[in-house]
Amino acid sequence: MPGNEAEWLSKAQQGDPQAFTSLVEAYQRPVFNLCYRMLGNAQDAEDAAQETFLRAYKNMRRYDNSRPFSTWLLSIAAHHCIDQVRKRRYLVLSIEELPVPDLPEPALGVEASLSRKEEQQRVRLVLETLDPLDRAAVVMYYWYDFSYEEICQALSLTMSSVKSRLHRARRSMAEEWMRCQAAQPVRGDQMPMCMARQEPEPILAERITP
Amino acid sequence: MTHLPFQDWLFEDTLDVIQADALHSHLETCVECRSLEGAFQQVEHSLRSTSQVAPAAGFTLRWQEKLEVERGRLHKHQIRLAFAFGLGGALILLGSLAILFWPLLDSLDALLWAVVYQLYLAFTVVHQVGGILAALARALAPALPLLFWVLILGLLTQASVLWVVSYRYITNPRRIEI
Repeated sequence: MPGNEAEWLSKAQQGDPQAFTSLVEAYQRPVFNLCYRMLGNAQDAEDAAQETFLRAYKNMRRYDNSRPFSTWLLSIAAHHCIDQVRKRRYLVLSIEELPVPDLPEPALGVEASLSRKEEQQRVRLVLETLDPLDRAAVVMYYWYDFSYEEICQALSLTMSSVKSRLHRARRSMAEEWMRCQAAQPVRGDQMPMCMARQEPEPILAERITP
Repeated sequence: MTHLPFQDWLFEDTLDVIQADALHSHLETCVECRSLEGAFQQVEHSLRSTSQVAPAAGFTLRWQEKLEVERGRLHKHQIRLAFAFGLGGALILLGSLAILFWPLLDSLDALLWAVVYQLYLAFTVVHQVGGILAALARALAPALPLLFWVLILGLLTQASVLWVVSYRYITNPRRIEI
């Protein structure tokens, strides 16, 4: 939690746009990361993150100070992304065919860049096999170290529902991984070939917890 | 070989000692469950070790621009809403007048004369109110000092300026800066 967050929150709730801009600056990475993990491409993640902050700005007066701001904000982002994923299912166009613009390359060596790219692809493709609500629970649990209670609050689910969703998601991801390995055997922790697909590489930031 | 409940236990966060021992024994003999466990460990490792991704530079500026656009859209929406309310009010007024003059609607001439008569009445009332105010001003002018009239005029001017400035301030969208 940034040092001045309480002050920014207080001012933002009184309608101060500059204070809210400071919150955007502080939380852009976690929000964008969640959107990216949920939607799988950078352009959609950017749009969803922008929309998340806009919704938060409009509803700032409804924010309950007793809850962590990050939970509230990521909850807005998750719900928006879940809606977007569900809308996509009605599109005739396959997700494989959607145009995805490239992001600027990070300043990494070729090998490190390729390794990270593979890592990102691997994670994205495993997540894509999940139901959107299960995916949101997984992202919150593994990237943001949310407790089950926090996931309950953020996704408006019961405790038993969160537990069963995470259980189902873990099993589904493991089975998908096995299926791919069986189709194309690989050595060690190398990515299964069925998962090797081109995707734009987002900018990598250090692992942070909101 | 049955894999239940071991395949369920593989994905549990916490197991008691008996369950953990039973699972461990089962994994030593069952290749299928061992493969599933290995795959899950790889997936979990990937999830935990993958870094957070950040948006392209200038995210905050793009958000500010989006907010500006949104405010402009909201402003236009409010104007359209006010116009719609005004139009609705005018239509209701016209409807009321139509009902009021319904008996006269069979004759267009009579309706026209009724409208003219109502306008004349309104003009007469305004004229009479103006006359009363003028008489009051004539009576009060010698009784009150010139300074009083200057003060009243000054206050009215200030109120007008304040109204114009307030209107501009409220209706113009403000820019926000980092």
